[in-house]
Amino acid sequence: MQQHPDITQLLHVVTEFLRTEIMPNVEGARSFHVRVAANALDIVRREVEQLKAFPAEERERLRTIPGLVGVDDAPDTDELYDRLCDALADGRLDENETVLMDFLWELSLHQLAVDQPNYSGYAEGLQTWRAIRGD
Amino acid sequence: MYAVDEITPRLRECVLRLGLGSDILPPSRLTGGASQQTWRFVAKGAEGERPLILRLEGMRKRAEDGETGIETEARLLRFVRPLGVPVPRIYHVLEPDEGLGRGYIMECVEGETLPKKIFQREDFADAREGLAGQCGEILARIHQAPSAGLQFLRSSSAQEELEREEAEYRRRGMRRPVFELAFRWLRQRVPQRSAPPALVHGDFRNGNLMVDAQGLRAVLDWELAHLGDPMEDLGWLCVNSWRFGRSHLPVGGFGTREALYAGYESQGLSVDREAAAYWEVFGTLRWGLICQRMAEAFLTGADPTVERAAIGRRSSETEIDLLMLIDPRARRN
Repeated sequence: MQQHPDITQLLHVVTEFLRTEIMPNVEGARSFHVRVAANALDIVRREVEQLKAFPAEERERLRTIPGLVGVDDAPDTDELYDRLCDALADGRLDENETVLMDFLWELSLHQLAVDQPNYSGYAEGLQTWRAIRGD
Repeated sequence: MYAVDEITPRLRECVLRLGLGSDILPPSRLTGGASQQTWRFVAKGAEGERPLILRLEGMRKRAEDGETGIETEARLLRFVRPLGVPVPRIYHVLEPDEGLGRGYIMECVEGETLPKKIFQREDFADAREGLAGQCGEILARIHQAPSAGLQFLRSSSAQEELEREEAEYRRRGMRRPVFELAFRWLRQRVPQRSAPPALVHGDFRNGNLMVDAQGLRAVLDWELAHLGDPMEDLGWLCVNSWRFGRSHLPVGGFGTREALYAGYESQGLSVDREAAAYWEVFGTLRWGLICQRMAEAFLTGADPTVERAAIGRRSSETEIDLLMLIDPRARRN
């Protein structure tokens, strides 16, 4: 799903920070290595941009949620998540729908593993999620 | 934003006029929020050195976030201090002709506000033991403040607080399924309150509490104070984000709910436990929304720093916390 700021925006701001704030303020070889590091991040950013294809797996998962309509004709992931958000906002789906909740747990744990795996709630959430699944 | 050489002469003049000292040492910047900034300085006089704090309104005023003006904050501190609420003494509210902008000068209270230090310092062991109960007592004193004298603050019911947050969330357009779930869950359970609105601090949490070896020394950051449901403060204090990794102690990572509630009820008020739990969910969502707001400041170019970009990625923390609170199969306690 769409995250703000997204991967390329984060990479871009850090790369610019290295180039404009750090590079001019360090000397010689270190300045050169900051430039190399910034260039490497540019490579990562370009590669990530190429990978931004539609994730088929997410569509598959969303298809299993009862009551969520229009999964197949949604043109992209953003539209798909908009429909899910609409269903949650107007109460067609709620916390008693276990297939939905399972999906939200997995989605959120996955996102947190990317964003802040050291957050205390991550370990606790993972433990709770495993207990819910009966692992 | 001011440079230190701009502030120093004007501040010196101000200190002389007020009789707080005969000279000052140059101020140093402590924190720099976008909405406020805090400077520490020392006034030197016949009786020795007196550490003081200068609070200045920042560049960006965020009235839409429900913040009070800085003069209102000073007025409020003066109002609650005689009620036994530990807050710094205000010496002076700045006048326009003093050339320092809007703000005030207050006493510098010594102590720790960093959660890690509060958790770890050995000489704080006794203070930690009693801290949750003390928070309860102080919150009760805040909530008992005679609201007739506080009509200069905005008043907002639980329903209105929720609507305000949701309107901003909708305007921003960064939709997230878990936030949608939380909004609807909250809309269905808004606590109905018959009592008149009470003084609510609005940001009473670990990080805004100054602690020393004796216990709670000062309650800081009153920018979000308003009249409303007092259970909001009890719920916010227990939000997982303010436990800083010590989830097993729901009150700021240092105490139990039982201790907090006992301290509160020792002052003759009662805790509506269901409403407090509601406000904990609300507070968890609110922190997620604050992270989004910071991400928005980055995305629009209003504050294009790495720090703002990174905090935008913290809203996913609150999603897990919300699922823990909302999924009937999980129920954190």
